[in-house]
Amino acid sequence: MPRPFALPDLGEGLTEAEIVKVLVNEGDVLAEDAPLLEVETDKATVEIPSPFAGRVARIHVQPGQSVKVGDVLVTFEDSAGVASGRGGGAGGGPAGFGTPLAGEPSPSPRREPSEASNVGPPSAASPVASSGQGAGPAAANVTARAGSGRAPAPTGAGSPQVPPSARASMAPTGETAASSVGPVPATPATRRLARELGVDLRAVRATGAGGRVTDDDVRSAAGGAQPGTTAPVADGRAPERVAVAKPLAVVGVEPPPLPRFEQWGPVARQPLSHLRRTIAERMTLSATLIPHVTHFDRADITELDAIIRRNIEPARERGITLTLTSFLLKAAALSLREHPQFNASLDPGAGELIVKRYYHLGVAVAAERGLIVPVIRDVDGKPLVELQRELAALAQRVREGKATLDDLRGGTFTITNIGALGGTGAIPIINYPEVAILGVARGREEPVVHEGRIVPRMLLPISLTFDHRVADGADGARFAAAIVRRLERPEQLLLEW
Amino acid sequence: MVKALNQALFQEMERDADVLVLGEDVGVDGGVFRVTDDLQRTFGSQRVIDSPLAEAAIIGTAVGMALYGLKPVCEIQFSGFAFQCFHQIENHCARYRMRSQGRFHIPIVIRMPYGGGVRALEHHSESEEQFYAHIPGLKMVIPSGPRNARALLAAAIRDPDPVIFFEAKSLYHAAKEEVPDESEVIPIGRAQVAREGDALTLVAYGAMLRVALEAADVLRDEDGAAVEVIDLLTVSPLDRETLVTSVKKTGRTVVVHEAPKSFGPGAEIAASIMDGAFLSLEAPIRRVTAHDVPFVGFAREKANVPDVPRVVAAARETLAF
Repeated sequence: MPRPFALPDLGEGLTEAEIVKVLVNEGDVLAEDAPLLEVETDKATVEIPSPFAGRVARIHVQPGQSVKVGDVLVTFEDSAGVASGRGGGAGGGPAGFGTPLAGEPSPSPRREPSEASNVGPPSAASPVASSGQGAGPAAANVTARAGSGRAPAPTGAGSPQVPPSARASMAPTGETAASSVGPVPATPATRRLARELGVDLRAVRATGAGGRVTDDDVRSAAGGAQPGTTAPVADGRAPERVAVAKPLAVVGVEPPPLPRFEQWGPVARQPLSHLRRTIAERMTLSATLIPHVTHFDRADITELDAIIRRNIEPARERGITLTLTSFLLKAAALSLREHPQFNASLDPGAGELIVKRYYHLGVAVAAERGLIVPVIRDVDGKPLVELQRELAALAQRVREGKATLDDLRGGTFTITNIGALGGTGAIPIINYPEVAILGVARGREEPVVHEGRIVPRMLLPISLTFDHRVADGADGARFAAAIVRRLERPEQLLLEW
Repeated sequence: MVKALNQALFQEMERDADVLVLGEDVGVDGGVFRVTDDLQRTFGSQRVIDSPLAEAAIIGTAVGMALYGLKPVCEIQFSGFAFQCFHQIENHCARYRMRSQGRFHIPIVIRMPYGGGVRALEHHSESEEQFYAHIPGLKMVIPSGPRNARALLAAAIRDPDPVIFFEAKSLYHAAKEEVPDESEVIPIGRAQVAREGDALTLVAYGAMLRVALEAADVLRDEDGAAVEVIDLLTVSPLDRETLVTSVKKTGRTVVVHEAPKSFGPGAEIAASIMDGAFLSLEAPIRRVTAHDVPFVGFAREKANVPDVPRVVAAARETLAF
């Protein structure tokens, strides 16, 4: 199956680019990450590397041509027979790693890339579910593997010296190796350096040949900003900076090996979907890096609840389903303005707190495939009705799997509402690299002493989890109280709208 | 190197009356490569014995002599002929100490010319040190030049256990070096750093040492790379400590040998380095060796035996990894 390569999302909201140079010819055999095309966007000229190793079957574009994101640029010949999948899938083909020495005839014929996949382990050779798919391919991959469950090495003399699994999934340059299957490609010396510096290789952006993490990658990961992560500021303004800062010390842990569960009974190994893996990685990152602390409170939303009930019908006439979430968004955004350290990100490498002057709030949405957090921009400045409308549209896009990358990034704070599913409270994990997250459980009528009498009141349990490096318990309590106050006195929200 | 080996035999036979030499044409003829020249004239036919054309008989007789307390130095004309006596070597030489629980030992040296580079016939150019290195109870020694050949042969003769002593045919007359008059001994089991460097470790022995040193010259002159060259001298027991110390410094290794690649000494060397210096490795360990084919005829010999361009190419790949 020929593998088309389309113009990827170049980020920064760019949808179009102009081809400046085509750096390869039809028939060329490329190594993964070899320069392929030069394109110019209205921001910069960008060199696009080859996403996989293989032979160029067709070039569909020429210099001067305008292309849109998703347009096919180059088709690669049938090669490893695997889906490319940025980061998730298995690439393939011996890319300058196990090639015989120059002038040294190999005793057995060299394998063509198309054969290489045949020796790969099943998990590496089959595409990992991309974000558009559910558990289909994953289910097909469920195998009850005896033994240690490690990928079998390729067989046959003259085969590449590295199992395809180690090489196959090398992420294109600029992505972290975290999305690979199997160990992160790095030399033993680099692994030692990473261990000494407490750097998790899976979180390091790989810039080396064949997607390898280099010593420099590890050092820059340990020393702060990783190469390439310092994306240009959207509007070109430099961040405000008050003083020179120093990096924080980095700590890291290596997960210990798992026991052989087969010894106690049959097991199945189910590859994680792309989304599941992303969630797992981000949760691990957050829970590992951030010292979490959670503050609990309850908001008396009796009045707010009455307002919502009274306005459900009028709102519906305007095509809107009024929910508590839009009020939560508003209350949180306005409280964040008073407590800016919760609308921030910590840069431990630089020893700085990056305070954001915009209030883009994420709302956790439970989609069928897993948790997704779409972002509503500039929540502080938008009318409630507008927020409600955007929220509904976003949630629908997410559930239909149509959310764009831009729908999902740029958030500064997250709200997760678990009320629909019951429970009396939950401790959320911060959506890295944000500083805080607000959890909301189900509001219930409870007997409450109110103005000297026991009356039924509607109470909403909230839990504010925040980064203890950035804020202390008292700060968290004050911030939570500011949210509670706004929810308890909805007329105050009126003044601020 | 022939003269240096001849001198070692003279010196050891003078030093110890129990040392004697036996093999095909070693007496009257002075050996096929003249390593035993003049020995019979000096020490007589009781100590320098012309044997029948029967390798198994040479080693079998020598095992008996060794059990009796003598110290025979056997010559096999070419290492390709040694399979006739492999049974005696593996089943008896290598095992007597263990078999007799230490009551007997076999102080025997078996000298054999090995390796290519002289455009010889089939069975005359093999490099099969791996067979002997693999056998517990044997020591496998391969000198790389006249001076260490003389000192290692002296050490082998004085060793209480069987030593297989390979002599590179290509060095017999080509390698020239000043050798002091006094007898010297290099301990068996110890490698030498032939040249110091910190960019890459080249491991070689025997005739390949010169190839490695020339490759190191090229890499120094053209690439500015300071290559460390290790001369094993003893293949087995392997001096792992010297290898590991070097690779901890350089992080990169290329092993060069004339034996075919698969299951050859390079595999053991690479595994030992990974055991001892894994976390220092910057690149996979490469091997430049003869190909996995029976030793080719002399017309194709140059394509089979590692040469400087092949070693340089492998070193560059390793340096660039």
